[in-house]
Amino acid sequence: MVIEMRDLMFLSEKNGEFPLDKLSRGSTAVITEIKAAAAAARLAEMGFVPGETVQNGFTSPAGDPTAYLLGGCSLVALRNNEAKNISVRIIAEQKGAL
Amino acid sequence: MKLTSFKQKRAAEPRRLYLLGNPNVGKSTVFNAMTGLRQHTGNWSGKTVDAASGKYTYNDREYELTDLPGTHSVNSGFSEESVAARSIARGNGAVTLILADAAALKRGVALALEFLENNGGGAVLCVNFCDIAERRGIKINFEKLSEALGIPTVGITAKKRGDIKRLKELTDKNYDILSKRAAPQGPRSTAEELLKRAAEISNECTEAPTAASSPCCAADRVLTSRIFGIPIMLLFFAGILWLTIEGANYPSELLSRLFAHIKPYLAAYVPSPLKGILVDGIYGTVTWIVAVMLPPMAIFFPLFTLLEDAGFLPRIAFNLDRCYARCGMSGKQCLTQCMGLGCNAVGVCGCRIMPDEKQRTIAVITNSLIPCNGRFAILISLSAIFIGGMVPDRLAGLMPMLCVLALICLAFAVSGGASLFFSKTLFRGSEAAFAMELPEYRRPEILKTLAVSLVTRTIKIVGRAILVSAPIGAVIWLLANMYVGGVPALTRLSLLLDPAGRLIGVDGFILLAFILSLPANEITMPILIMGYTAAGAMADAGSLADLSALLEQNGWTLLTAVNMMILTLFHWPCATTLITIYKETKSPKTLALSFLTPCVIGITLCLITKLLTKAVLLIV
Repeated sequence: MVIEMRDLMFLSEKNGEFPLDKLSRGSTAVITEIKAAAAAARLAEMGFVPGETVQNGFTSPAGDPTAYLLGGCSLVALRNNEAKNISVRIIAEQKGAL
Repeated sequence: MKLTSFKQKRAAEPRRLYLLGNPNVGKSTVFNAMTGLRQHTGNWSGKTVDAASGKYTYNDREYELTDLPGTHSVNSGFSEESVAARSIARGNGAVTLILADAAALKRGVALALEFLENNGGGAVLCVNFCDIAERRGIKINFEKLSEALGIPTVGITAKKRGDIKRLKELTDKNYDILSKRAAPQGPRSTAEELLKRAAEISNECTEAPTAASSPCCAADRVLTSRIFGIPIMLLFFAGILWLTIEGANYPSELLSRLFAHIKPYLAAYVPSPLKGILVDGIYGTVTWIVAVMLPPMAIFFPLFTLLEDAGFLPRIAFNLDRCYARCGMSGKQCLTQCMGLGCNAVGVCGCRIMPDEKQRTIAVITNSLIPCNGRFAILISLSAIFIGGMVPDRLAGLMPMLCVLALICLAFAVSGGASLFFSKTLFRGSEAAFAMELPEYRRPEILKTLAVSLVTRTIKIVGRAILVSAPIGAVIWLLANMYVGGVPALTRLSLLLDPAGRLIGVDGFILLAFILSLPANEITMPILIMGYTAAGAMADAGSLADLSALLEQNGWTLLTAVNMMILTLFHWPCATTLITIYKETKSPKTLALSFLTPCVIGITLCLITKLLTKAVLLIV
């Protein structure tokens, strides 16, 4: 957990980017890059493309997957191991639940 | 899917229209409204898995409308979406209606831009759910939108007849110009560029209140919460089951009394040589099915359809995805299993929504582990007799419900276990990604849903059961009345199977009933009853009390009932499902596995319960 936090801070210090699965509940970010080339096409089809805003909506009881509000209009559920392929930059942080 | 009627074939070629749109923008509703057909709509993406077409006439012109499965993109390699791409590629000289959701206009505009870039301007943008958008205070300037995109644009609410007429009028007026527009040549934009332009256009054309309400609503927070998520789902399901069992009791009783009352009158009219086969064989079987199956189905399926239309099912898939992930599958399998609760053949078709070939095959094989409605009725009546009878009267209504709920949970668990087994052994492969759209909650049109689900599902399924059961009723009656060496043929056959049956804690008649009911699971009980009353006539075992007495006379114990229920859950798929599996997969291996998997599981479980009972009896 400690290491994760440090990683996250290192990343955010570098260029303010971090993987989507680290986006806290209720916070909104903008997609900067899709890392895995293989997944990029499919994620793009679901609407995950660079430049799109994405908000962490809510998470399933087991903690995975998470539903993201894409572009303020559609809800798409992604597993965490998918979401980590998406780099985002935060634009509105929200503390606590949505 | 054959929805076009033959009589409409005229000399003139009909004008071709395609319906395209993001998932869950109400395509099936618009399609139904335009063509007057009844394609079932469901509030989750992937409900329409194959293109359907229908015809309508407007202004003395005939139109052929093809409903394409929901797509996010025109150029895509997804199996669910490739049908859309192929059809459009062929659709040269046709007009495409691009459907968008007013509350998510940007997505629709992005699809329209992509379409226009690839296929040219032969399209009309049709913005649906204007009523919902209006309620949220979103205003769309359609003239501006039309100008920006270069195609006619119309805003509708698919439920309103007038709006559908406006859409038809607009299409009719512009068809000639639009259908002649050619596909442009030139570089294609990337998804990012398209989305950016779509955002610009939709922002220019809409006026939305700054604090637009988002689709993440309070309901989602509760339904998917860590504490309440799973219990609420189970409560919903238990509630539906309870309503079904309690509500079906009275009409079932009434129907069986009515049929018993009619029987002597009918017998008086039938010439005596045919009396046995017609009245006792066919009439007995068919009325049993109507009295016992129809009431629970007429309650369960409309209720279930309401949940489906409201957008509840995808949330269940979302909540349970982690469990499915552990089994190497995706939460979408849950949707196919829920379809399987209705009919396994439908569930098998629904497996097309699975993300890859490996998961699809596993979902097909494990689908028939989920009890379909035909088996549901058996579970309900057996648990009412044997479990309901064991508890005090005031709990008698509750116990069968809990028992059926437990059996369904068992079925889902076994299905998960089998999926895990297959994904670790026979069908290895990388785990495909999970991405699923969660549609907005929509208030279902209650009356319409009830009517449609009664007609399309209940009547159709009961109709099929009756068609299959009538001839089989006659055959069984013949078997029961054909004496071979002084014993009815049916009894002789069951005696042959008896040792095998005893081995797994049931009897020969039960095994025979399962074998003979291969054409349709619904007729298992009628066959069993006819076998027991081997004189040929079905005793009027319409009511549960009569059935209970009959089963006890034939030496049924709690073990017999439990194993019968286990075998009901897990034996083999019915013939319709087997045919569907072969049609869907074209793989004899998948077909064989689909047949054997439930067999092996059922027999193993029956052996376990039998050994357990023996152990308990020894200790006591």
